[in-house]
Amino acid sequence: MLEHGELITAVDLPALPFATHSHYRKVRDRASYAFALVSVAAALYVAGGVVRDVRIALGGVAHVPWRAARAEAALRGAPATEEVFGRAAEAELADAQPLPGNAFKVPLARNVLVRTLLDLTEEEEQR
Amino acid sequence: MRMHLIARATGVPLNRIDGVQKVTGAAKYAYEYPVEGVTYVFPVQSTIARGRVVSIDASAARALPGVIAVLSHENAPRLAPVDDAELAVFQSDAVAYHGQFVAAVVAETSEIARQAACLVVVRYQEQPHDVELRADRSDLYTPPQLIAGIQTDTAQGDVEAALASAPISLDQTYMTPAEHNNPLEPHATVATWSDEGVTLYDSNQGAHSIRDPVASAFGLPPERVRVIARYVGGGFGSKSHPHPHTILTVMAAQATRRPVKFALTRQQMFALVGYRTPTIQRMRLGADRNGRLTTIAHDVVEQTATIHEFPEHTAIATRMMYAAPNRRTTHRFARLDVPANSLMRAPGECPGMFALESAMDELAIACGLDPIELRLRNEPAVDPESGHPFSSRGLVACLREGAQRFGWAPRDPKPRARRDGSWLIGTGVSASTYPAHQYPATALVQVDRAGHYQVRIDATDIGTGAWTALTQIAADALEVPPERVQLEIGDSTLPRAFVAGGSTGTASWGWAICNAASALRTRLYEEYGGIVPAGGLEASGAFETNPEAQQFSMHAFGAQFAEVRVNVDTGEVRVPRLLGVFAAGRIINPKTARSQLLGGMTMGLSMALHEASVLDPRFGDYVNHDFAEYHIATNADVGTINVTWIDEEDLHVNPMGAKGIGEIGIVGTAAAIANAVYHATGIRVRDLPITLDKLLR
Repeated sequence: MLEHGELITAVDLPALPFATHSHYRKVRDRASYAFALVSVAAALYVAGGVVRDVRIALGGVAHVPWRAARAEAALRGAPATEEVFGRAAEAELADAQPLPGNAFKVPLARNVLVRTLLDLTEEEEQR
Repeated sequence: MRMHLIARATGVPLNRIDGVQKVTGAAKYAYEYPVEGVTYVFPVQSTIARGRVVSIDASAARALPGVIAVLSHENAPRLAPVDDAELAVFQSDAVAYHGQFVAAVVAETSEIARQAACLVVVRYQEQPHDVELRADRSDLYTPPQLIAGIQTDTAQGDVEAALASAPISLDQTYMTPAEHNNPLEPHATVATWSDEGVTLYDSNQGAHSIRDPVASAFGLPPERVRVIARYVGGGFGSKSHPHPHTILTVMAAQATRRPVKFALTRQQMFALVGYRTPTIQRMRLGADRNGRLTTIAHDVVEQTATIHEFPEHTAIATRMMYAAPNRRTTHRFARLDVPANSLMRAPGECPGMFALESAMDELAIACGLDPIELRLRNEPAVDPESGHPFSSRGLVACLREGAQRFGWAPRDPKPRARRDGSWLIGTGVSASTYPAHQYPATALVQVDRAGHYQVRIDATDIGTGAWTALTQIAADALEVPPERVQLEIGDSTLPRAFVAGGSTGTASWGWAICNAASALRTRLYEEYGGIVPAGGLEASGAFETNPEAQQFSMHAFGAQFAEVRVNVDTGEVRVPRLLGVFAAGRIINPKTARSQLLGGMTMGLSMALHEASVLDPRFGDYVNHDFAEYHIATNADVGTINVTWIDEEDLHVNPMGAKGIGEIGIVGTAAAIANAVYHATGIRVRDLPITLDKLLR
């Protein structure tokens, strides 16, 4: 918590070597000039078909950018397969409390997260 | 048949003659006219949807330096009774919709006026409001007629019996949301009140249509009100007649005896200048096993406002599109405490054809027929309701030409059959139509000894290209090159003509110009032996009615084709390709015509995918009242749009053989896209817009 008279002078984001390979996907109601309905930022490190490390954040689903810690935990050390990605996404979204107008964001977030992880995996394998 | 025009200047893709003025900023729009001693008005809008104003405390506003006056029902000048209750600004304490003007501040600057408006404290006695449109309301009513005197209901044969016995039938409900006109130039008025009368620089679609109600409301003879609208940045129907801001600006000028300017903010436009009614449309079709329609029933529920009745003719195109012995159309309305709905590009035809052409696509699937073939099999020989022959009907030609250009065949009708990576691909088609009406107009043509012609008519160019097209028509009517013709339009002191609306402008104004030119040429040759006298020469011409309109059914037609891509993960829809083929008589200017049709189709794409005004039932207002939240297609949403037309000359409609093209471009686009989305995904979206949540699986 900032106290009165204090000022943020610098923010240090330590480099995450594997995050040189990352994706950001923003899904909107139109192709441009619209807020994200759901966005996903993800970095994935896969070796030997196994997730060694991962970072995931979701946008458009909460009042803050949502770090998908549960999904990350479910993925570390697990095989990099569509089934595992789906289970990780569902674990993250299990406690989501959508409102009547935005219930679609739950399946949308799941789909976009799984697709992003699959795309990253495919690109990892090609490197 | 009377005269018809020999095409020399018409049919040529002339550049817009007002193009240079517009891109250099020399063309003045209403708000830009400099007026000495000008002041500014800013309204206070109701925060309740129904009730009474109990008190207005304007002391803080009046105390602000620069404030000249605060107007409200407590002190406003009395107006004469007006037909449109929405124009009775400040004539009572009653509130009939959220956003209604309840007070206004006139000040030396627009900033002071706006700040002072925020300081006005209005107290209300609120009454419960009723703003929700539902098909199951028990109080839906049947107006004696729809707008423009159109019949409310029609019926032929026995619809229920025919549906019960039809081997193939369909019963579906389609919905379109409220949609708001958003011309680039907001509505704006500059009013000057003097002993001589009132002058208005006003953004509108017809100076006479503003002049007459203003004169009548303020008890002035019409000739003492002058309305000037030389350049207008779009209207789409929302500038066809005066709205409360016109009256407010004149009233402010009357009360303060100072010139007054007012341009609506984008947010104010969502309450004050009309919108397209939401619609709930039940479509029932019956067909034999060969896909021949036996029954068409189209039952519509819409809304209209308590303050002003505007019953739209949503099912009108269903009355003439396809043959069927048993047919019915009905319109029922909920009268709600909402802002007044009004005209928006192709009122009636546009939302109605979304339902009919979606239903035809569903019927084609049920019959196992190609959707183009289904339409060919139901092509009527004569207008199915009136029995009149069509003056020309190019639907089949448009469908065939479009199918060839688009690469329709071979099309596997199976949904979800084509895929490119994460994207499902589909194609769809829809018919398009819009009536070819004409309205009365008068014109004056003058010539000087140097052989320069002046053509004067109160037509309006709202961005359509009328400046250019009418110059071309006049040139051909006078048999001179267009450079010798100088057009004067957009001023109520010019000969009277009807508004730029209903796709009637070119036909009606052009006809009057042809008649004036013909009269001038007759005078010149018969009275003066072809030599212009020293003082020049002039002649008037009028177009009253087209007698053939009683003998023929007159409509433009078109076929719209869409290719869509739908993302399997997200449901995002992209439209890489649209094709529109139109049969709209002779095209006066291929360049401006292409722009109009392209614009119509773009607006249709926007309607299909984006546009929806969201009403908050708690407050009765449209909440997404800006461009961040009321989505209109961006450039990134619009792929390739090809526009073309077939050769058609229809001399029954007017001497130019031309049908209007301002509206047909938007008719059918949404259905073509919805049909393509079904083909891509197997998901039928019957309620617009087609947002991704409706396609998520």
